[in-house]
Amino acid sequence: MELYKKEEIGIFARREKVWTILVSLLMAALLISIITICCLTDQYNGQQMEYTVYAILVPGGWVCIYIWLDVILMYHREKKHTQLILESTPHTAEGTLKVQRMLFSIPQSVTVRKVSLETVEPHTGEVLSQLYSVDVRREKEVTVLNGKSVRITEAHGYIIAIEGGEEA
Amino acid sequence: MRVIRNIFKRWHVYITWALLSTIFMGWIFTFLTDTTPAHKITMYIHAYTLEDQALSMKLEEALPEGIRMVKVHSFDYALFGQTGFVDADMFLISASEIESYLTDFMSLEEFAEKHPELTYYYDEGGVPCGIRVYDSETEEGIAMTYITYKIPEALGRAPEDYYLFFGKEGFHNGLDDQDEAAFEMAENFMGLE
Repeated sequence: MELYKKEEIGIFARREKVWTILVSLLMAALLISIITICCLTDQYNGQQMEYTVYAILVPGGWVCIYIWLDVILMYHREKKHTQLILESTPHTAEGTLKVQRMLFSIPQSVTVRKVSLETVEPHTGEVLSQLYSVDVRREKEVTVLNGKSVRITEAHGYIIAIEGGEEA
Repeated sequence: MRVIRNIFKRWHVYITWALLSTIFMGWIFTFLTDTTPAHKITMYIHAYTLEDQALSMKLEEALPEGIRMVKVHSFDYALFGQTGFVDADMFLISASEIESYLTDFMSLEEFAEKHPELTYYYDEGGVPCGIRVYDSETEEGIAMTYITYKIPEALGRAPEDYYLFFGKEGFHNGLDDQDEAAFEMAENFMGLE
């Protein structure tokens, strides 16, 4: 099961573009309405016009900030992260999957969950554990296989494909 | 739920935006709505509490000819080194404060002759220069919807009368061929409840 697909880069880029256009339109609408209200101060009460501007500008700005920081930047980071992963050389590994409780927010990037892959050294019988990361937005496919024997493909320390599911 | 969590995570960004945008737009509106002293009557009021915006809006309902705006400021505003304080048209202050500013006020001799029914404040030379607008004994005064004259007893200050004065350097006091809009405005002001 592949966790990263090339088409996703295009989807994230499109969403980033659409939201950027929407927030730009919203900012332009805010600016035009504020300029219009400023021009009306000659005809109406300046104090009331000022309060109207605050009532438009403050919540309007909050909406723009939210869209910018939590929607556009999120799609931008997902796009960059997916590009980085798909451009890296993949490696495969096998073992028993153990999902960790640890969640990490990587600054200016995605939030990841740590998982470990445990393998038994055939000659010594020693249990070797290797840590990998899974993007939390794609973790469902991985966490259902917790405790099972899996074969993973990883790139840059991230699991990009997983298969198996037999009891370890 | 995620939306609310994300908003709370960046609460400082949203608060900063609210503060900066209101300060900036406040400055823009002050610049846009202000006008030259020739078209504006400025009044400084030193009272216990003052609804300056509401009083300005009420006085602007009946503007004298040539006047576009009434600016009512608390005396605290003058503490920021406003040069406009000296050029203000009207001052409303308590009896104990009068001596500090008396040289800035104009004489009301002519006005007093026309309006003998009013109670005046007289300077050392016996010249009337202020109109009493609040009587601490009867607790009656003008524009009491907007101005609180009575100081709470808990503050331990004696009740005082309040007087209305006209600035010597004002732009609408009738001196040096100026208009008498300040006196017209004062009549409106003294009629407010």
